[in-house]
Amino acid sequence: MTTITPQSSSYHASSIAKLREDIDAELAILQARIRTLHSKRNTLASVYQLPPEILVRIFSSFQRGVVSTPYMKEQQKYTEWARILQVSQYWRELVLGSKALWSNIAVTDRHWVEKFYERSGTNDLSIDFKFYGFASLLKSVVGDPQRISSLKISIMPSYWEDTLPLLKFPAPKLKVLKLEPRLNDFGETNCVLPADIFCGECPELRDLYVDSCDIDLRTPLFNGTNLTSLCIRSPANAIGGIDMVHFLQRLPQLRLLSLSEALTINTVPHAFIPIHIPNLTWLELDHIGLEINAQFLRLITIPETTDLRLECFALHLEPMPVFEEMMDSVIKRAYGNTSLVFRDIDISWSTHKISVVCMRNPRPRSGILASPSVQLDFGFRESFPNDYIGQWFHQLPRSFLAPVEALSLEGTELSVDNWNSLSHSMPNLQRLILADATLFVEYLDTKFPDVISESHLARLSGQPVTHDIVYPALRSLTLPLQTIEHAERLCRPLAIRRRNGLALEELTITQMADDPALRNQLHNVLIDTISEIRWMP
Amino acid sequence: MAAPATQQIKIRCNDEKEFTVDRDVLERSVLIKNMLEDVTEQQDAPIPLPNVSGPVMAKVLEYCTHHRGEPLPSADTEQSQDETRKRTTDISEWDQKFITVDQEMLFEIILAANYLDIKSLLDVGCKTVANMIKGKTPEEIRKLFNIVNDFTPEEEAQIKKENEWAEDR
Repeated sequence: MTTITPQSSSYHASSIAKLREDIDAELAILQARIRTLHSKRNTLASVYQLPPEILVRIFSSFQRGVVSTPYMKEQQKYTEWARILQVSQYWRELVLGSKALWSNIAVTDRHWVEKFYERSGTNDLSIDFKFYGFASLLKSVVGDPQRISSLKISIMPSYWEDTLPLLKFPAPKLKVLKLEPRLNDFGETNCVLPADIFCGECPELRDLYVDSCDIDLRTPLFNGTNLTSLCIRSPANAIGGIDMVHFLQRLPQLRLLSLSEALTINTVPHAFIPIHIPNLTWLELDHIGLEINAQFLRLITIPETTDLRLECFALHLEPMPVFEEMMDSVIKRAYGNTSLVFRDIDISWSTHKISVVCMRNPRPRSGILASPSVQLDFGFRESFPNDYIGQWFHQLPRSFLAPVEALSLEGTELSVDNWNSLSHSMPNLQRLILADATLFVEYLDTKFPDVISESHLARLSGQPVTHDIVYPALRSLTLPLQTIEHAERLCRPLAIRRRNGLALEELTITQMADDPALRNQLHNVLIDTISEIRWMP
Repeated sequence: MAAPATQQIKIRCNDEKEFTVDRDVLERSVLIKNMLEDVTEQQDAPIPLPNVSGPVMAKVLEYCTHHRGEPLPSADTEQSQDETRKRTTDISEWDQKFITVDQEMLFEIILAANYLDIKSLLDVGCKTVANMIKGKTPEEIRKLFNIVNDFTPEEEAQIKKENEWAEDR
C-alpha cells in the first residue's frame, strides 16, 4: 500500500503526476473492492434469498400496481416503476434482462415506448394506447406487428380516423383486442370500426372488447369462432337482435358475454330466438331494454353445472307486477342451483331504484364474512319512499331471506316494526351495514326494555341473561354513531350478546365527525362491549 | 380411487415438526396434491417437506385452511383473468391481515408458497412486497431491504442520464 506523506515543494512535477496516478489507480482498485464488498453484503439480505423468477414476479406486480394507479400522470408511471433499476446492481441486471417485464407497453411517451420495445427482445407484445394517436409510433417503433398479442386502444375520437386504418396487417398472434374511443364533448364518438381491420386475419383472437363504435357484425373481424370473451358495449349504430343471436350462435366457446346497451328496445324481437351458449360463465346484460324479463331469461339456455353471473341487467319503467314476476324467476334460479351466482340485479323505475346483490357461493368460508355466501345489498339509494324496502322484504318468500348472511342498507333504513318482523326471517345474518342507525338502535332498545335491570341482576348473579337474542349469527356491524346517546343505547344489547357468547367480532363506526373528544368518549362507552372497533370517516 | 375429502394427512417439516391436516386443506398445494394422487395406498408415514420449517408451515396451513374449498386457479383461468379483469395489486382484507408479518417471515412464506406450488399465496406474497416498494425512492427501498448501493461509476452515469431525461418531463 502507498504510504502517504506530505510532499515538499521541491518535489518534481512529473513525480507528483506519477504519484497522483498511482493513488488514483489504487483508489479505483479500492473502490472496486468496496463495490464488490457492497454486492457481497447485499447477497446476505433476505430479499436476495428469493429466486430471480420470484423477484421478477414481484417487479411485474409492482409494474401493474403503478400502471393502474389513479391520479398519476401517465408519463410518470413508468418513470416511477423504473426506480427499481436504481436500487442495486443485481436488481438492475435482473430487470433489464427480463424481457417479459418490457413486453407490456403502455404508449404514453415515445421515450418509454422505445425503451420497452428495445428491451422486450423478441417477446410477444401487449400494447396499450391511451389518449394519443399512434400513427408514427406504430410505424417506427412497433415495427413488427406480428409480435402483437394484445392491443388495447383508448384514444380520442379525433385520432381515430388517422390511426385505425393503419391496422391493415394480419395479426397472427393477436389474442386480445380492445377498442374504446373516448367520448367527445357531446358524449359521442362517431368512430367506425374499419371493415378491413387486420385484413380480417387474426385467427388467435380470443378476447374482443368494442365500446362505442359503429360496428358491423358481418366484417371479417367477427368471423372468428374461437372467441371466449366478447363485450360489445354501447355501439354507435343499432344492432338487430336477430343479427346478434345469429352471431352468438357461431361462438360455441364463449365464456364471458357482455352486451351492455348493445341492443335497443326496438331491435329486440318479441319472439326472441333461444340462445344456447354451453360454456358461458359470465353474462352481463345492462340496459338492453324491456325484453330482459323472466321470459327472456328462460330463453337463454345455460348449463346448470357452471357458475353464472347475471350482472347488471336492468328494467326501466317496469310496473311492479312485472318486477315481482322477474324477481320470482331470479330467486328460483338463484336457489335452484347450488353453483349459480346472481349479482347486481338492477331494477329501475322512473323515481325508484333498487339494486339487489344476491350472491350464492356454495363453498363455505371461515372467518368473518369477507365474501358472504348470500348477501342482499340495496346500494346507495336516496329516493325510496318511506320504508319501501321494508314493504319489499315482506313480498319476498321466507326461503329467500333465510340464507341471507349479509345485508347492506346504505341508502335507506327499516322502520322499527320491520326490524322486528325481520328479526326471525334472517337467522343466518352475520354482517349488517347501515347508513342510518337511528331506527335500528331504537329497535334494539325497544327489543330490550329491561336491559339495565336485567344486566344488573345478571352481573350480580354471574349468570348470562336468558333473552330472546335477535340475529343470533350477527358478528359484524357497520353503522354511523354520532352521539354518545346512540352509543350508550347500542351498548346495552351488545353487552347482553357478549355475556351470552354472541359478541360481535367487528364494529365499524362510520360518518364520524372529526372530533377527537367525541371519538374518545364513544370509544370509552363501547370498549367494554366489543374488542375491535374501527373508525371510518 | 380418490380418497375422501376428510382424510387426514401427516406432513413433516425440516425441523421435524409434524402436522396432521385435512386432505382438502393440504391439496391447496399442487405439489402435495400431486404427491397424494401418485400414492395409491394409504400411507401412515408423514410426507417430508424438506424446504419448509414448522413455523412457516403453520402460517401456510392457516392460509390454506381459510381458503379451503375455493377453486384452484388453473393456467386457463389465470389467462382469462389477466386479460379481462383490471389488474391491480389489491389484496383481500383477510389476506392482508394474514400477511402482516415481519420481513423474514414474509419471504419465508413466499419461498414456501413457491416450493409447495400454492399460486394464490405466492401472489399475495409478491403483491405485498410490491406494495412495500410502491412510492419509495431507490434509497428508501435499499433501506427497507437492508441493501446498499453497489453500482459502478459507469452504471451511476447511465442512471444519472436516465434520471435527467425523467426530470425533464
